[in-house]
Amino acid sequence: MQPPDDADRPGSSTTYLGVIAVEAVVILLLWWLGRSFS
Amino acid sequence: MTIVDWTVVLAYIVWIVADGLRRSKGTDKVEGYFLANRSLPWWAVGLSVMATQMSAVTLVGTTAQAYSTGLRFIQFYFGLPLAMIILSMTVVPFFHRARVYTAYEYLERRFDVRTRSLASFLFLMGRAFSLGVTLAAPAVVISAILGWRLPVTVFVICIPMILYTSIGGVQAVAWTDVKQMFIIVGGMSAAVIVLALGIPKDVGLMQAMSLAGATGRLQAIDFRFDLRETYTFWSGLVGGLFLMLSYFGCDQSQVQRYLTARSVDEGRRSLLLSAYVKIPLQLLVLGTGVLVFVYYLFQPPPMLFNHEYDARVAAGPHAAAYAGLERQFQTEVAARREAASRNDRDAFLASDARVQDIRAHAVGIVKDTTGDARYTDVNYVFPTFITTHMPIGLVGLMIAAIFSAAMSASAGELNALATATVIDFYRRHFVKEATDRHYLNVSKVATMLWGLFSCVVAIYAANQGSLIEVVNRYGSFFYGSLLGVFILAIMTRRASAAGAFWGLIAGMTVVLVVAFTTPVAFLWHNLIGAVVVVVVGLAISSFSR
Repeated sequence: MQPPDDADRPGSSTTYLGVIAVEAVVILLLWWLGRSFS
Repeated sequence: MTIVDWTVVLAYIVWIVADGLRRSKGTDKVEGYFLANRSLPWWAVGLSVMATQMSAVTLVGTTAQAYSTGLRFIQFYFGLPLAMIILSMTVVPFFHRARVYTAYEYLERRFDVRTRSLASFLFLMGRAFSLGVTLAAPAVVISAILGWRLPVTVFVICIPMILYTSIGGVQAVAWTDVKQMFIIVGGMSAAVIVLALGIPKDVGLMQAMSLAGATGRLQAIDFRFDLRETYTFWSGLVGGLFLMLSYFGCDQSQVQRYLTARSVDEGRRSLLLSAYVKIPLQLLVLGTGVLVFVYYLFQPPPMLFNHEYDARVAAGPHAAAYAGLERQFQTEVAARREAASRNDRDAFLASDARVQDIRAHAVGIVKDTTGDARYTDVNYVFPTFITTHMPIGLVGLMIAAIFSAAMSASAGELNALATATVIDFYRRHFVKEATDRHYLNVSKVATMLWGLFSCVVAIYAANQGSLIEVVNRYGSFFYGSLLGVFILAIMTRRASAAGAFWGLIAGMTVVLVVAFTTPVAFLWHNLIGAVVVVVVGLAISSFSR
C-alpha cells in the first residue's frame, strides 16, 4: 500500500499564474531596457 | 594566481569531496543510492536541478556570448517557466505515482521493452558524449589560463567528482550541488561588483549602459518571426518550450533530480524554483558578459585574450604585420576610450567597429600562421578578466566557481547515466534476480566507469571541434522525439507499442532530414520531432489495432 499523497491534485493555480506574471514582467523590463538604451 | 587563491581552490575541492563522502550515509540500498529514498526537500532538489543545468560552459561560454553579442541569448529560456508549469501538472505526479527509477522504465509499462530500451539507449549515447564535451570545453580554457596540460585539468575536475558521486550516490550529488550553486552565484556576484567598480566615476553606470546599448548589446528581445534565426522571442517561447519539456520531462539527468523529492508537492516546488529563478540567474551571467565589454572600454584590453600561439605568431611569417596591428590596436582603443568618456556616440561606434576589425584581422593572422582553423578568442575574455583584474582571494573563488559549475553539471549526469545503465539494461536484460547489495555495487562501478569514459571523451573531444558540434546537435535530434513518445504514453490511451516505437524512429528521421537539408534553427527541431512522433504514432496505432 502506498501512503495517500497529493499526486492527484494539479497544484496551485495561483502559483502557476505567479510564474507567468513574473516572466511577463521580466520580458517587459528587457524590452524596455532594449528600447531605452538603443 | 597567488598562494591565497590556490588555497581557496584547494579548500573548495577538499570541502566538496569531504561533504560528498559524508552524504554516503543512507545509501546502502539501491533506492537510497539513486533516489535518496525519495526524502529530499524541495529547495535542495530545486538547486540541484539548476546546478545540473548550469555547466562551466554556461559561465565561460555565455559570458563570452554576451561580451560579443549582448543579452539576446536570454530568449532561449523563455519557454522554461511554461514548461515547468506543464511538467508540474503532468509528469511530476505521474512519475511519482509510478514509483519508477528512470523515466524510460515507465515506457515499458505503457508500451513495451523495446521502446524503453531505445529511449534509454538514446539517452545514454547522447549524455555520455555530451558529458565529455561539458567537461572538455571549460577544461580547454582553464588549461590555457592556468598553464596546465589539458589531461591535468580534466582529471582535477573529474577525480573528486567521480569519487563523491560513486561513493555518495544521488545524496552526495544533490547536497554538493546546493553548495556549488551558492559558490557560483557568490562568485558571479563578486565579479559583477568588481566590474561595476572598474567603471570610471566620471562615466557612471548609466552612461556605461548607454554605451553598451549603442552597440546593440542590451537588445534582448527580437520579436521577428524568422525560422532561420536561432534566438528570437518566438523560437525561445515555442521551440524553447518543447526543448525544456523534453529536457526536464524526458532526460534522466533532470527527471532523477525531482524523483528524489519527498512528495509530489515538493517535486513541483523544486521545478517552480527554476521557473522563477532561472531567467534572472541567466541574466546575471549574461549581464556579467556585457559588463566585461564595458569594463574593457575603460581598462586596457589585450588585442587577443587567447595567448596560446603568441610565440609561434611572433616567430612566424606575419610577425611584422601582427606587430603593426598591435600598434594600431593600442591607438584605436585609446580613441574609443576617449569617445566613450565624452559619450560621443558616433565616434565611439566608429572606433569600436575599427577595434573589432583589427581583432578579426589578428585572429586571421593567428589562424594563417598556425593552421588552427578552430582558434577562438572570445571564450578567453572572462577567464582572462578573472585572473588579471580580480582581487586576491576572489580569483580563487571564481576558479572554484568554474570548477563548481563543471562538477555540479557533470555529477548529476554521471549519476543518471549509472541509473539508466543499471536499471534499464543490467537489471532488466542481464541479471534479473540478484540481491540489492549486488545492484548497489554494480551501480558504484557503473558510475566510476562512466566517469572515466567521460574523462577520455573530454580529452579527445577537446582537440576535435567538429565532434563537439556533432555532439551538441545530437541532443536536438532526439529530444523532441522522446518528448513525443512521452506525450503518447501519458496523454493518450489510443497509442500502441508499435505506434510509439515506429513513431520515435520516424520523428528522429524527420528531424535529421530537416537539420541537414533546411536552414530551420535547431530550437524548432524539438517541436517538429514531437509533432511527427505523435502524428505517426497515432496513425500506426490506429492501423495496428
